[in-house]
Amino acid sequence: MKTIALIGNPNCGKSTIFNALTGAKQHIGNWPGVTVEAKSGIARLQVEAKGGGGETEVKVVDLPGVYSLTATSEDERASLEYLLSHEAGLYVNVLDATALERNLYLTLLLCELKVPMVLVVTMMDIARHRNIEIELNHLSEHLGVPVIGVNANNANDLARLRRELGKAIDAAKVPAVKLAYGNELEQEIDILSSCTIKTAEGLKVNPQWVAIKALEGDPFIREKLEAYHDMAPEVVDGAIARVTKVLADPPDIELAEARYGVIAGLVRDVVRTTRMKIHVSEVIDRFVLNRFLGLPLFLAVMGGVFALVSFAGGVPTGFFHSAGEWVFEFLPNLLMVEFFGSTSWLTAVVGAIGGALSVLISFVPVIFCMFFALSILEDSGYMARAAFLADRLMRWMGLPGKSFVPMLVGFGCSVPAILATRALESKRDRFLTIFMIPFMSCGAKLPVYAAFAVAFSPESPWKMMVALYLTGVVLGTLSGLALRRTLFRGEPAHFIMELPPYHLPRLKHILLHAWERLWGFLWRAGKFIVPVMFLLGLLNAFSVNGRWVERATEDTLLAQVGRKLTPAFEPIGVEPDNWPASVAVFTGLFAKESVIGTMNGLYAQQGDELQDAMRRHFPKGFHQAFAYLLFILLYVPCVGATAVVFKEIGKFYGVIFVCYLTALGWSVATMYHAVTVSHSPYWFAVGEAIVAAMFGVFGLYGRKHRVDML
Amino acid sequence: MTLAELKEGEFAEITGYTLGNAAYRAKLLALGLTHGVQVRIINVAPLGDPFEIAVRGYHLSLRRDEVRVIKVKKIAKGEVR
Repeated sequence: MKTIALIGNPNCGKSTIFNALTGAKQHIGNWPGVTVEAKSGIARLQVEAKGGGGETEVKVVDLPGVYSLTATSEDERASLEYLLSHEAGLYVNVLDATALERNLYLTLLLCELKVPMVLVVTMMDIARHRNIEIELNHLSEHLGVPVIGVNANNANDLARLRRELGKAIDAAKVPAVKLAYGNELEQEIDILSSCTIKTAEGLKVNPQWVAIKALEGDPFIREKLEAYHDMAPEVVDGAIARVTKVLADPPDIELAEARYGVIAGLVRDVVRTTRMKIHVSEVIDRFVLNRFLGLPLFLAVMGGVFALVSFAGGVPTGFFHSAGEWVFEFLPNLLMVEFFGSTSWLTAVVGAIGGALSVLISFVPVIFCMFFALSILEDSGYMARAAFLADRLMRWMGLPGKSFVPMLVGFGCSVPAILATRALESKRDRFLTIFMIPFMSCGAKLPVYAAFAVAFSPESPWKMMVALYLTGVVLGTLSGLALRRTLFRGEPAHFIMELPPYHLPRLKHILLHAWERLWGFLWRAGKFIVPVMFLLGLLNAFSVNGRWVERATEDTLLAQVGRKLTPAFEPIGVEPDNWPASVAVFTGLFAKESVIGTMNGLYAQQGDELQDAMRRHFPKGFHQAFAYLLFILLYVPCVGATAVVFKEIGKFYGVIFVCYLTALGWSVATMYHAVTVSHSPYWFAVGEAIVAAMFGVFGLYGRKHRVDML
Repeated sequence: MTLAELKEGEFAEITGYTLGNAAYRAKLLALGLTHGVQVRIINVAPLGDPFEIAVRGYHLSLRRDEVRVIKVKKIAKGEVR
């Protein structure tokens, strides 16, 4: 099967074309850089043949949106490597008609690489609306390749695109445009290209392209030149110095100017602009980004997003969880009792599987609602504005504006928050944000805080809760700043973000998108969540002597583990006889609200009301309880969130994530307890030593392994 | 003067770069911020940074302390092409 690849700027309508061609379900968003990984699908193209036509199937690869092909960002490097794999027989370069100049820059880079291509110009209608007319035939003559104009929402246009691509794939053309760089540069390119032949042959490209990339100082080509024992770095540096001396600017600037010079000539020839209209987007931005209205509006929108997540995390989650329990736990249990009697171990196993599935199901509403909200923001174009408005604020935390939304979502649920970090292009910023999200107390921690607050700060429960939320944010910021200097060293990411034109959110796309992301979560994270939950469920269903325990009691294996580990929690304020608090730490892995459920159940077996029992088990009062809550705030998130973290940052950093949070939680709680309750310099020193040791190790590791080189 | 010194509503023409981070410069160049191009400051974020510019028919946001590498000369509205 032949392969065609879609390549174009971020936000140019490439994903829309991909979806239209393949019918494959893939995400479309109005936020630059939503396609993190290359996706592929199958398309049917119309081909002309003797005696009528037919259809042919081709593989379509959707490359990440890029502005150029220097290997400085993940997306560009991925695209460049794909181009050099020579898998595709035809490149479909998608261009946005409303920003043709900038879009043509990538086209010229592809021309330099001499790949067979066709141009597809999208958003012709919007351009026309702005009085921009593009003479496509004329453009096609200049470049020597077919140019097809489409409006992605027009069915006729799409049928025409299938026909044109069907024609092009059999007679793929390499662009015939001659790029003029000026004498000085052309001379250097000629000289250098005589010593890039081995590399060019190895990469199956033309030597001039290698020479140009070398002149631009591209690190990727430097590596390749070395690997193929071609031109020495000193020769390249010499050429760069010569150009810089003669032309006053380094060759990367000169080359970019030369390309934009060519583009200016093309645009002058093929684009007719009558009286430029002011963007509607510009008018909207005057209000949305306004000094006075901007922030209130931003807070209102974010409040809405948060309300939606909180709502979804409340009522529907409870409903889904109950429904899940009914379908996966009670019903099978009833059937099992009917057929095998009530004490069968099989019942317990089935129960554990059911428990795992119902936990997975309980994430459905919150993730769907979150993605629904995120998709509206992305599709409308507001997401980029939110990042724009929040950037200054987020820089106090050492992060870019784009991490604001994921962090905010983190107060609702960590799972969609971690998934939402995919919008960050810089790997370093993404890892840092993921490491910071657990510090934002999620909705499931709220009932735990509330129960403690009512028991230990009855006259003003909000004080304890606010203190916990704020501590989380402050510690998260400090942790982020420390990690930035130790584990995640690297180049600071610069802020260059396109603000795409607004458009009305398309409901169909949004629902489709939310559904796909939800499905992706269930499928991929489920593979991790279900087995781990199953294991925890078994531990919670069997006693030490292998007997099945009907209700969570102190006899279960999990409770036994918790009891055995109680001494480990003594420094954080768990009294030796307060083993339910220790067991609750482990059941909290299912979901954080289980902490309070477990305590309630276990204290009740001892015949106590929850609040009285809590006060009795934390006899030193407020500070002792607060130390325990600090640990609950910071230690490893629930299995669902941890699963997603492992999926997003890999096993190695996943393990670090789990150990770091747990050790930090324990140390912070220990230090707090040592200062406020036990007045033990020894335990304070232990906590301090653990934190120092962790960052020491991170520092040493980070010095050798920079995250931007991953 | 640099792009960082412009105020909302002002027009300028890019005159060159002071050499800084090469990767950052490569991105700016690819986005069309080359010698001779005209830009306009459309919006400044409420906290003073970042700011939004119009360049080559689209909108881009950048941070003030990062765009000090871009040299510009201010132009009057009448000189806008």
